[in-house]
Amino acid sequence: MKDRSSRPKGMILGALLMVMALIAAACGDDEPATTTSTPDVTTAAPATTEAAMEEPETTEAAPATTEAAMEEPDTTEATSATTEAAMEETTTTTLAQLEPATIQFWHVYSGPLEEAMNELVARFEARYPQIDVEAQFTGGYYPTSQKIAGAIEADDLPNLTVAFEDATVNWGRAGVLLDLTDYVNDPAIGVDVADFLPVEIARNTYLSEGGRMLSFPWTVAIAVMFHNLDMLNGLGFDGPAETWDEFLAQCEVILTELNKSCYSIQVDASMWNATGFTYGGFPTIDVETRATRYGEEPWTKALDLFATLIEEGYGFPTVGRADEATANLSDFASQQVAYIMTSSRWVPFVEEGVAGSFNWSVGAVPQEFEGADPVTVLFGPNAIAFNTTEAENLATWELIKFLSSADSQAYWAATSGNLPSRLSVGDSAEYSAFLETSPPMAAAWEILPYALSELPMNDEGNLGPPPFSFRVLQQDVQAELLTGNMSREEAQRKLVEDGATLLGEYYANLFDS
Amino acid sequence: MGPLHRGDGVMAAGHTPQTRALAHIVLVALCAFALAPLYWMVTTSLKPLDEALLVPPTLIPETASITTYIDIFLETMMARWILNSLFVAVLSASGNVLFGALAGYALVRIRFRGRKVILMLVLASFMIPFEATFIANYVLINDLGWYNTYTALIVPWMAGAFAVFMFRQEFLGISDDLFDSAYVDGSSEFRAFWSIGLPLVRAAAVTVFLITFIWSWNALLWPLFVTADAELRVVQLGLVSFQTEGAVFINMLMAAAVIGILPVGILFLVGQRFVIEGVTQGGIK
Repeated sequence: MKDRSSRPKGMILGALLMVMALIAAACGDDEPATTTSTPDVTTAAPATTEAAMEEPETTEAAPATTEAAMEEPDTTEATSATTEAAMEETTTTTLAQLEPATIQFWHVYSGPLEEAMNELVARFEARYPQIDVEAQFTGGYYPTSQKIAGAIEADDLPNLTVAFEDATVNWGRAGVLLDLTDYVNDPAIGVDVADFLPVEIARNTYLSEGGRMLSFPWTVAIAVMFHNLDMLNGLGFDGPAETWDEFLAQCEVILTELNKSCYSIQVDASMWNATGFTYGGFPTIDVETRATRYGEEPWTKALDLFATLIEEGYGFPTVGRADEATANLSDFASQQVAYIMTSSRWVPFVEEGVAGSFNWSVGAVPQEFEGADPVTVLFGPNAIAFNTTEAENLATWELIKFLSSADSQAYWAATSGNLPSRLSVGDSAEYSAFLETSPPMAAAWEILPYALSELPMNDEGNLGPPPFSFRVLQQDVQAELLTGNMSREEAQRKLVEDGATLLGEYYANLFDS
Repeated sequence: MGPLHRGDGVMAAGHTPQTRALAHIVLVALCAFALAPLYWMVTTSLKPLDEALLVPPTLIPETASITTYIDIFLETMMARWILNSLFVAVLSASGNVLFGALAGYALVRIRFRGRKVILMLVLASFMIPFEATFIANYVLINDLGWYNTYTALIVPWMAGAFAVFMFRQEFLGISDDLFDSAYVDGSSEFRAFWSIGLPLVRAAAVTVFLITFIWSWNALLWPLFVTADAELRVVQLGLVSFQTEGAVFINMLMAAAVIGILPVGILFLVGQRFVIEGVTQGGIK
């Protein structure tokens, strides 16, 4: 017979278990990581292409320099028509030569971005009916890299994915990547790299891997300063601060007049770098000595700035809040702060989050000196092809070319909030019309030519992308500094010492093995 | 000195009005603490994005609406994903009950060489984390040609050490006499299992079903690995898709999360008595 007195206990236990089950059901996981590396980069040249492609026409026509592209953004229709015609011509040429193939494309785009990607794929398939593209959302970058790790073991790789440089080097060392260098330079099926942001071509050229292009530019985003125009104007400021001194002065007024902090500081390696770069702290790594440059003067100034912002009450970090990027946006949308620094990719989210409740825009990150170029950082995933069969490799290259074409980039940039990596996109009617409707994105587009990659680089290419753990170190130190648990001196010392240990091991493995 | 009863000596100290009130206060506080995330999730799902992002957050939505829920069903394949999850979880959990009960019964009732070694191996497999085996499993699924099929989502999870262990513990507590009488009546081993053993481990069966159902329902990495088509996505994978590259539409994500946990919540409400009994008994034996 049941003991009635145990019922209340059972009910309480049941209720607690119910709550735990609901919480467990609500949980998910996503975290970044890297894969292991082994030597030997696959070099698969487009062997059949020269014979197959008889007409050496390049697909895209575009202005050669950044300045030309940025200064004349309105020759749109003629240029677009020319590009279309050129593409049609090349398409007709390659169409007959491409063998039927099915392309597996694993990407990270979901929701509206997945729809936009599907639209681009549909356009590609309409142009190349014999090629079937199976575009699949495979989660964020970490799950996708895990899935690719499994696919490498299973020897059943996709043809195309989007990823960052550290993963690219690892996959290249595993010998599974399609080296795009020969495709890019092929007179028949190559592309005019002069139309791309020079930094993007360099970012995708891996000097540690013999100067090969193991990936290709896709789209980019830059760090920008979102600012509350109503708040600034209400305090008598014409607009956002152009220098850090002006920024601190504005912060003082905001604190005095409104009793608010002016800056919600996102703990993020890219935003951290953007701040340091404004003081000349680029690059953060000296590959030759395999050490960081955080002990140098530009970073002393940058770290002092962070310390001042916290000490004076001008800023606060997003540390400890569930999703720091969303917390940053929440602070801005709630008018708790006048400024946030985040990715230009966030413009559409800020638009939706603010929902017209106040006027805001996007500007350059404040610089050290008045009149300085609006230096910032540039980031974003690249297109990466895996070496499979000759027919699939060629079809994959055509897909990469298509996705990076001016027309595709214009569509993608306008629908996704990313920035194009291709200069002639500025001439496209579609993108120009989009920029007219979105002043914040237009502002970001203006800043784009001044953006620097976070990788250690020279004009020729990237010198060796650091591991993800280096970003973790940067963010850990930033969090400690911003929460007052570490002084500027301690932060610099840790970055220098731990950075040297971490990079020393990593680059030893990269260069000496 | 007789045995202690409720109300005697030390026990009585826990039941004075003051301590009872204190216990209630603590319990209410703990419940509120546990329920706060759920409350936040539900209320956020009812807010438009601009309100969902407010700092400090509004405790009661100023402009509550179910628009987000409607949008989710109209603009995504959430209904399909829920059905997929139900299909996969029900079959996986049923498989665990069936195979776990068979294995547990065999390990207790059938005498054969290596029985203890098998039990040790089963328990050892319980201690290997999923992350350590999923690439090998992925390769196997690929070799079998099961990639991007429901089979890949279901079959690998139809049997598990947890279920085997739970049922073994349950069968250990059943008297041999019951089975012996069945054998005297001419019952086969399977008949004895089916007609005598299984009904007596009903609580464990429900426990195993519910817990493995929840595990299956919550699975994210495996479905992500072995499926490609949006039509094959399960709820958890669907939830990930609300976290777009770069940002989160927090109100939509929370609405999707509410939808995602409802079936599990309802199932747990229905079967909680069995889970408590099953876990308690399994722990005692």
